[in-house]
Amino acid sequence: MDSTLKERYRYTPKDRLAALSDGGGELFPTEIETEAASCLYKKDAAAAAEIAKLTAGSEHKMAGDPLIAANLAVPDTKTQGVQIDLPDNFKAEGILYIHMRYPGNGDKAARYVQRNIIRAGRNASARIAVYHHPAVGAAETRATIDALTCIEAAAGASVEIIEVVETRAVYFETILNRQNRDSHVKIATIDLDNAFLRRNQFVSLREPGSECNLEGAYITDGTQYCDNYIRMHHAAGHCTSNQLFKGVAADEARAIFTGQIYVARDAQKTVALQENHNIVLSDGARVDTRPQLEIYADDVKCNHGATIGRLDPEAIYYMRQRGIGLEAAKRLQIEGFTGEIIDHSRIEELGHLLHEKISKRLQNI
Amino acid sequence: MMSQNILTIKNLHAAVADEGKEILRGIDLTVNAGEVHAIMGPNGSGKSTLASVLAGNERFAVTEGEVSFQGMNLLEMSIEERAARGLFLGFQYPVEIPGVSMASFLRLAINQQRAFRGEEPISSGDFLRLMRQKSEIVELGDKLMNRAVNEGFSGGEKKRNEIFQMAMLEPKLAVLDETDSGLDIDALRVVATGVARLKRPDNATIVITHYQRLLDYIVPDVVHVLYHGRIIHSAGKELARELEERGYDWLIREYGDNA
Repeated sequence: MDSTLKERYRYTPKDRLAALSDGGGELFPTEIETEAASCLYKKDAAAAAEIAKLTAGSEHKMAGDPLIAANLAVPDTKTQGVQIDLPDNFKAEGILYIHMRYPGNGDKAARYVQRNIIRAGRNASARIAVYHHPAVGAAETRATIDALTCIEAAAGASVEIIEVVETRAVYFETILNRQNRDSHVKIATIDLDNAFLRRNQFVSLREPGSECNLEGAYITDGTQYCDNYIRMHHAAGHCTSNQLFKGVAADEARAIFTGQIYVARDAQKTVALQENHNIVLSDGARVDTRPQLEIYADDVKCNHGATIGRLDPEAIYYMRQRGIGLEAAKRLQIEGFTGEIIDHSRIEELGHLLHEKISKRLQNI
Repeated sequence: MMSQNILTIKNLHAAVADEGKEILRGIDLTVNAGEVHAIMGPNGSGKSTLASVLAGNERFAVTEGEVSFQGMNLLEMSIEERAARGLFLGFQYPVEIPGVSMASFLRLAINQQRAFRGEEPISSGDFLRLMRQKSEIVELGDKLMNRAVNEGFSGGEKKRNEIFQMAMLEPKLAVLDETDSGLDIDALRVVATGVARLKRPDNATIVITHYQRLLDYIVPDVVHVLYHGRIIHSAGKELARELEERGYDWLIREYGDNA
């Protein structure tokens, strides 16, 4: 690995990366279920050759990236996925729901490899909700999931994705997002309950006027590990990006956020914002937050903010004075903290459900 | 006929938990149902500390004395148990809770109080009706209900929100800690009228205040002057006006510090 890649995987334990190869167990198919009112898609993995074309010559050192390399090394016949093709001017009504299920391999290790492509034509729009279900039964801690998704947003396209990851397993994900003029992409990731999670999001704002919003919430406890890595590449001027990630770490859990913002020399009038806020619930938990800004243009607006803190004792006192028990008060505060990510989502239909999911998850913390 | 006793404080001493610095130095106070008590006093006399100790704030440690609340030992109860048994503290500085809506906060509070008392949770319909009905008391309307608790509220809205919560929770004893400070005259009128409307023969209110002007709207049965951690003088409502005109010095000279 060269120094860029070394830095990218600085905190990732080596044995976890090994699970991406044959060490992660026998390959098993992901069971995919889709529900859509009107949307054009097929349940078929994207071909490795096609994705390789997208990653070739990219500015993100894709070729050598171990997640991408491992994913593309798996034969097409052994992978699953969804391909969504939105023709020009196609406005998908409602939400396309995608369920990813992991049925397991008895008590043996199992590996699941996915390749997805979302192509949004000019002025097309769609809203997509992806739910990664808990891996089944005894397999949950012995399952490794490796998902790769390419998003191509043509001029004026609008794509909103909300992804809930609750696999209890080892979960790797790469999202490659390339955007053209005046396109809007929003991706919200809700990482609820995963033994190990590493997600890379590589965004390329290639033409003026494009906007990308990445938001995420993560909840970790026990010995869980949750690592979100972002590279936001402003290649053209007049583009806007936002990153807002909020997380909670309890027990001996480990949460990491790395947010790179790269503004190319000609990308004037860039607006790039980044915030990462964390609550640490125990002395044994650890959170790392790494803002990394590389700015080569001189007329830009870039802000970043990061905090790692504890629960607010004043707020807990206030809630208890109103009759709310100590544990419930703590949970309510955490729900409020992470709930912002859900409330920001314009997929309102899911809001209630997700608030409930978080609430249920926090019962065990 | 003696009215029902709500609160009896005997020789209460309390100190800052971390430092051991004594702030309350022997408070005696009896509050019966149907009464409104005003506690006044100069800055640093211990007024807010008294409110905090009654609520169970862990920043303070009781070093001596007894507090009985409706016949039970208040000092043995957790913060939330005190609330569930009917003690309400109107905060001087209401706390913001980002991301938690007023509605979900209050519903949880009501249901946790009910669960403590062995009652069924409130239904959605009843809860909404109650919210609508009570928000009128403080002229809040619906606009704050879907916002996060106290977040982005103006000073006046925060204080009105305290009275609104008091109306929702229907406490036996409300302790209002400088609810009037920082209010303009309109907000003051709304807050005071709200408190007056919530007064019932079976509940009681302790109003902690710096200024007499609140007491133009909320007429107290007794006015106490707290100085250096003790109540140095108690009298009828006319004492408040006298304090406004003459200040505290004459009282301190007469009753203060030598006991």
